[in-house]
Amino acid sequence: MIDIDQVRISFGGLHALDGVTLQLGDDIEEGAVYGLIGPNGAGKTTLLNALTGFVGIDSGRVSIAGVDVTGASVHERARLGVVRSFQTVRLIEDESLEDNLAIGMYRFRRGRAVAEMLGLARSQRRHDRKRVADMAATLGFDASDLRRSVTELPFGLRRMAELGRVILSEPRVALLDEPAAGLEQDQRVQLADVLRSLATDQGVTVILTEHDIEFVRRLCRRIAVLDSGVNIAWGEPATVLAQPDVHRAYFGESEDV
Amino acid sequence: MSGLRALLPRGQFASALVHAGVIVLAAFVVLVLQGAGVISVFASTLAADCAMYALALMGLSVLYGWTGQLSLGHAAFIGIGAYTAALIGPHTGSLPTPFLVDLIVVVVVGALAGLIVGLPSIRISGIQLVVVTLGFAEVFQWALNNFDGISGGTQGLLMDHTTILGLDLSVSQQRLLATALVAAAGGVVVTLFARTTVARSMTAVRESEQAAASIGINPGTPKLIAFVVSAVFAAVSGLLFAYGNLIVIPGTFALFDNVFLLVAIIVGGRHTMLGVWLGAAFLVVVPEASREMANGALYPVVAGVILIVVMIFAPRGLASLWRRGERSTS
Repeated sequence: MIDIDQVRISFGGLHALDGVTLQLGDDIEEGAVYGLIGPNGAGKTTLLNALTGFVGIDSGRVSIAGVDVTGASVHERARLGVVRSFQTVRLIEDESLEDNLAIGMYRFRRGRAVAEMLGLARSQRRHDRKRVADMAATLGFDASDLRRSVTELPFGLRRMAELGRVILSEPRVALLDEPAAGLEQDQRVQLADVLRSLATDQGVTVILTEHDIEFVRRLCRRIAVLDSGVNIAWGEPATVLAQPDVHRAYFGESEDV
Repeated sequence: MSGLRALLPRGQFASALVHAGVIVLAAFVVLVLQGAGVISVFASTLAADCAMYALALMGLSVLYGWTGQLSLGHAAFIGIGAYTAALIGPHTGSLPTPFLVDLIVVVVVGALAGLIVGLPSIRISGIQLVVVTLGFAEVFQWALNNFDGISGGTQGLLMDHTTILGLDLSVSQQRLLATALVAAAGGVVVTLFARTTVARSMTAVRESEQAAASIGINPGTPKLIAFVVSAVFAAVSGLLFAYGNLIVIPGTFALFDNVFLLVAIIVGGRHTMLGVWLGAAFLVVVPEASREMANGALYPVVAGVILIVVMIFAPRGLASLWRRGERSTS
């Protein structure tokens, strides 16, 4: 699904990504959750930015479902089904949860403003409303939250709202930048359930970055470890996390962990 | 009752019609009170001005309230509409046209102007964009003063009267009714437009162009559409302005008029239709009140003080006070 080939990105003299090569989504048929881990500054977010087009790459290639998207803009990639969330939650402030979720369906609903204004898209609208309400319920919102401004929501629910927007956009690849950060324990469990079902039931390739190793170990089928812009390990969580060099990158030189 | 509700999906049409009804009703109330001698004849002139400004501010509400783009060129768009009307209208000469034709031409010219001025918004935003709109407004002003063969220079252009649905736009009471009808129609358009996917994409780029792009919105598109829509509303407002005054002169669309329009939508509240009308009232009442207190020269000072006070106590505009009260009682 995603083919990252020798991707290099530098910011000034800093090599944020130094020749990363990864193939995600071809090894597991029906969609899976992949983890991208590594210490702070390892290049995890930069890799997500490179995949979604937020930063240009100096050399190498990125292709998605066989389409070379190396030069494509962010919204062009999104229309191919590459959709992301952000480390700092980005919502439409002061607007309702309902609107914030519904905008996820933009790429299937654009270009029909006149029909919508004249009320011709009514059954569509009812259907969309239902989907938005169902999504909100799945993510742990009360029905009354739909009308509330997202700005009034607690942090965990704001993160969930952003995730809902990503899911409603029907991605082929969902890239989630620390989706569990700042969530309560029960919300983490709920998040894991939602992501697992997104991958297995809807066949979405989910790629997430995360610092909580336990969360990654339980949820992800495969993980990649980045350190200083280099992909130092790749494989099943149990195998990868047992590797000594991964240990060193993550926990420092100390041997007794 | 329930049958009626089924005809009105989620109140979308209902709120549009209620809005239109309230405006037209308010116009009638002014006329009745005037006929009864309770308020002076001047009141209908002020009320008509209010409806005219409301139309322009609807456009600014879409531009600034929805997409978050600041413009200091809105009065210039009003001016484009006014001068277009004057140039094609009767008396000034070229083509004596009925109102509907005027309206279509003004809408097209306004849309084109919005498209051209809005093009930079695809690449730039924030203060850079403000400077672009200000530059456009100043170039427009300069052109009015210097191409006097077309614009009449500082003397401006005189116009002959015109009618909408038999209402003469240069007769105070008739003008009020006609302007209220046009503003009501504009309000219906904005209210219906607000529920569309395009409108949602506009609010999305307001908060984060990156987040908007991440779900497939080309950020330039809603920003440009907002410019076109806002310019059309301003231009139609200018058309009403021209026929209300029967003269267009450059000074009416100058720097301070651009500033006051922006101040008005901020004071009123840029996100709601109520804010639009409060802003329009601000544009009518404050200059009149300052003139009565001392003289017209105090207008900027009074407006500035009001802006500061409102920003301290209601940063989201006066309209938010009403909604806050509503929320606390529920």
